Amino acid sequence: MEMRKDILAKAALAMVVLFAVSLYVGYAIEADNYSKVEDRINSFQDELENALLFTMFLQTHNDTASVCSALRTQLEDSAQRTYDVYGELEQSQGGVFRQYETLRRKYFLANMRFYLMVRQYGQACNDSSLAPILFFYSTQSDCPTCAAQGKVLDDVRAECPDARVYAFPADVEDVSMIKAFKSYYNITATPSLVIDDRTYSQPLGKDAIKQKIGCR
Amino acid sequence: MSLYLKGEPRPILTLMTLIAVGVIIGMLIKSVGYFWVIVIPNLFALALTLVMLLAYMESDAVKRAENRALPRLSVIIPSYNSKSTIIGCIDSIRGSDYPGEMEILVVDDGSKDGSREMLKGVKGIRLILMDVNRGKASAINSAVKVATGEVVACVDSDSYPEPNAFREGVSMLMDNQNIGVVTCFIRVANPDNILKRLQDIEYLTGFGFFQLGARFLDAITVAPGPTSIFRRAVLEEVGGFDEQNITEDLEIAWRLRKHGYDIEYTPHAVSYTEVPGDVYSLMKQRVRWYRGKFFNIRKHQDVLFNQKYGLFSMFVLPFSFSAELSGVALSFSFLYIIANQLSWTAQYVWSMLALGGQFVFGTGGIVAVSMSTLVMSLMLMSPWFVVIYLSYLMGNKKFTLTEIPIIGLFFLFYGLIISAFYCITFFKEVNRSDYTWK
Repeated sequence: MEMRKDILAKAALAMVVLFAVSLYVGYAIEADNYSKVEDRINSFQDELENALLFTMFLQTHNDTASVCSALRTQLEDSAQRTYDVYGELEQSQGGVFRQYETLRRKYFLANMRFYLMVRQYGQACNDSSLAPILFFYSTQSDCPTCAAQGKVLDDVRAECPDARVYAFPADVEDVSMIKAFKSYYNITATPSLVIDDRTYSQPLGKDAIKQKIGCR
Repeated sequence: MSLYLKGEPRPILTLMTLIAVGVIIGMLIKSVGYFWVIVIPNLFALALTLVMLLAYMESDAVKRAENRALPRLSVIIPSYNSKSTIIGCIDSIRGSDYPGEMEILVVDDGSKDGSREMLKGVKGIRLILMDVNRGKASAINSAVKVATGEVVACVDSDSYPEPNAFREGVSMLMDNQNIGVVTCFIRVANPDNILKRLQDIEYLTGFGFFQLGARFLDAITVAPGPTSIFRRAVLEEVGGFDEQNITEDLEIAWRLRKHGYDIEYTPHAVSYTEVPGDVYSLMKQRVRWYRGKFFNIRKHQDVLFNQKYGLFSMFVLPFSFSAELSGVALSFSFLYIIANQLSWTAQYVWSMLALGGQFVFGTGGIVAVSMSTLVMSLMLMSPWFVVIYLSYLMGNKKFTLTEIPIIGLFFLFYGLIISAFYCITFFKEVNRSDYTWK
C-alpha cells in the first residue's frame, strides 16, 4: 500500500493552524482582560488625582469645613475601587502570555499614594475615624498564611466600615517606594501588619485586629 | 517469568531518575508555567489524533460480508481460571451465523478454579488440557497444531463475539491472500460501573475510530486478544505466537507485518470483552500492555523508522509511543500541582483556624486557571471531541446530553490515571522489574 504522506502534511498543517488559532484566541482574551484592568487602574489614578487636588486645596486655603466632607466622600469611593481593582489583578493570575507585573506595580504605587492621602486627610481634617491597616504579604504561592491573613482582613473590613486595608507585596524589590515602606516599618517577614504605625510581624486574628483599630 | 530481561533490577538508578524527572518538571512549571508543561507533551497525541481524523474522513466505508461459501473455521479459546465467563464465551460462539463449518477448541491452561472440570462436561467443543499453566500464547499454539480449519479465530475466554463477527471477519480475510489477520471492533461488555463506562469510551475510540484510521494508513499495530481472525497457514509460517511475550497480540501483528502480510480491520465484526472493574486491576492490565510495547520495541527494533513498513513504522508507532512516554511528564506535572495545592490548602486551613477567620473555599494557591488558559485548552482538545462523537457513531452508541459528565470524566480523570500507569510502566522499565503476565 502506498504510504500516505499527504495525510501527514495535511495533519501538520491542521495542527499548526489549530495551535496558532488557539494561541491567538488565548492571547486576544488576555489582551482584552489586560486592557480592562489597565483602564480600571487608570480610572483609579484619576480619582486619586482628584483627591490630591482636594488635599492641595486643603493645604493652600486651610478651609477644612468645605473640603473635608467632599474629600472623605472621594476617599470612600476610591476605597471601594481599590479593592475591586485588586480583585481583578488577582484573578488575572494564571495567564500564559501577559505579564501583569507592570500593572501590579502601577496599582501598588497608586495604592501607596492612596494610603498616604488617607493619612494626610486624617491629620488635616482631624478625623481619626478611618483606620488604615498596612498589610505586607508575599506574592509567591508558598505563603498560604498570607492568604489566610488576607481573608481575615476581608472579614474585618466587612464588620468595620471604617477599616481600610492597603496591601503591598513585600517581595517586590524593584519598587523603591515599597522598599522605603518596608524599611520605615521594619518589615522582615510576611505576613506583617502595620496598625497605628506599629508593626506586627506575625499574623493577627480578627478579634485582635478589631481591638487594635477600635472596632466593636 | 523472566523474559529476555538482561541484568539485575536497578533501584538506585530508578530512584535517581524519579528524583531527576520530578526536579526537571518542577523547575519547568516554575519557569514556564504548568500550561506549557502540560500542553507540549500532549502535542504528540494531538498530531496522532489529527492524522487519524483525516484518515477516517478519507477512508471508504468498509464493505460488508457477501453471501458466499467460507472455509472451515477453528475458534480457539485459551482458558485459565475463567469459570465465570467461559460458558458465556462458548455460547456466544455457538450462536454465530458463520455459514461454513466451524469447530470450537478450548484450551484449559491448568486452571485451578474448577473451570477445568466444568469444561469436561461441555458438549460440542474440543477440549485440550494443559498439565501446567504455560501462558496464553502457548495455549493458542497448542491448539493451532491440532486445529483443522483453514482459518483460526482466537477468542479470549472473557469475550463474546457477535453472531456475525466471524462471517464478517473471515469474509474479509478471504478477499486477499496477503491478509494475515483480520482484527475486530472490540467493545466493552457490561459497562456497569463508572470505570467500565470510561473504558467503554476508550475502546470505542481505540478499537473503533483509531483502528479504522490506522487501517486506512496500513498502520494497525495490534491484533487484539479478545478476537482476531488469522489464516492458519500464515500463523504456522511465522512460527505462531511468541510464548515468551507479555503482549503476544501486539507482537504477532508486528511479526506478520515483518513477514510482509497485511493486517486488516472490519468494524462490522464486533466482539465484546470483559474489562477491569477497579483501578488496581486496570493498572495491572495496562502496565502489562505498556511494558509489552517497550518489550517489543526492544525485540523488533528494526520496525521503528523503517520505510519498508510505511506509516506504521514511520509515524503511528513512534508517535503513539512518544504520546505514551509523555504520560510520564504529565503524571509528574499533575502530581506536582496536586501536591502543591494540597500542601497549600492544608496550611491555609491551618492558618485560618489559628486566626479565627471564617473559612471559605477559594482558588488560592498555585492552580490559577485563567479564562485564556481554559479556552486554549478546550480549543486544543477540540479534535478529541470530534473523535469521541465519531466513535459513538461508529459504535451505534447514543450521544445524548447525559453522556457529557462521563465524557468530562474521561478527559479529566481517566486521562490522569492512564498517564499514571504510563509513568509506573516507565519506572518499571528503568528498574528492569520482572515481567508478569497476570
